[in-house]
Amino acid sequence: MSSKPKASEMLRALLDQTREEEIDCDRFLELVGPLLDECIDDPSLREKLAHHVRQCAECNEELEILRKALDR
Amino acid sequence: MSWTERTNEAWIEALRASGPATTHAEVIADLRDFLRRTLAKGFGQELASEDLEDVVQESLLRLHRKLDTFQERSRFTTWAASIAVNCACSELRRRRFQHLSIEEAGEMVDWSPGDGGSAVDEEQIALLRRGIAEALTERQREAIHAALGGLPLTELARRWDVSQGAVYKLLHDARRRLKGYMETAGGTGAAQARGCVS
Repeated sequence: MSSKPKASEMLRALLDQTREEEIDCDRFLELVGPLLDECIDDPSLREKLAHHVRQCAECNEELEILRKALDR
Repeated sequence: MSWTERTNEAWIEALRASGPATTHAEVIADLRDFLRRTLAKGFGQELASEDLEDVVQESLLRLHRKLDTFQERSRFTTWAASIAVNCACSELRRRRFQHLSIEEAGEMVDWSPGDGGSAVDEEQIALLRRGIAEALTERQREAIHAALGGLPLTELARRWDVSQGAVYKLLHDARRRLKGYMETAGGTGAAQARGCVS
């Protein structure tokens, strides 16, 4: 049995969470350092970053590796 | 001075080579050591030792190129680690997907309904596919098919010679258009997907 998720399930999940404005990967990578060092005071910005990692598998993977590497 | 004691200012000043040559060499050696340890801990066996040295070297080059963009909103070492991890991930993804073309990834998309899929699921899938065909640009269709086929955004960005953020924006715009299509054409679209004629 294949464990690969079905395209329609992935796409519907992504569409459900799609917003008019989202942070892109370049902005996320600029802010991942301040996020890990807990230097982002704005809760709205922290929430936008959390939303980005739910939408972007690559940034989510990089964040998890950084957390592991830096003990955060 | 160890890398844990050095301030952001001390890192930057030394890396800009504005200080004595011995300090610059010492800082480069410390940074290399920090990146090596950080990547080894983050990636474990996924990054072989010979690859680790290559990624550390490439990361040092990227850090030098980006040094003027460091805004000191985090510790210098956290910023450096984020660049090194991005560098390592990009290389690992490049190797993993080097034999998969964008077209092949698009052909790998599994549009079948999930286990126990109902007629409603099949209608929804038909509507999604119709939306992709009708509401998106050719570039957006190519990107969304490749992404659904498993090709990472970083690989699309590398092959199109654009930033990862540019690919994300393209896909974000595609999702917004598709979501709008699904919301506004949902009722009539489902009927069309069933082959009904008004």
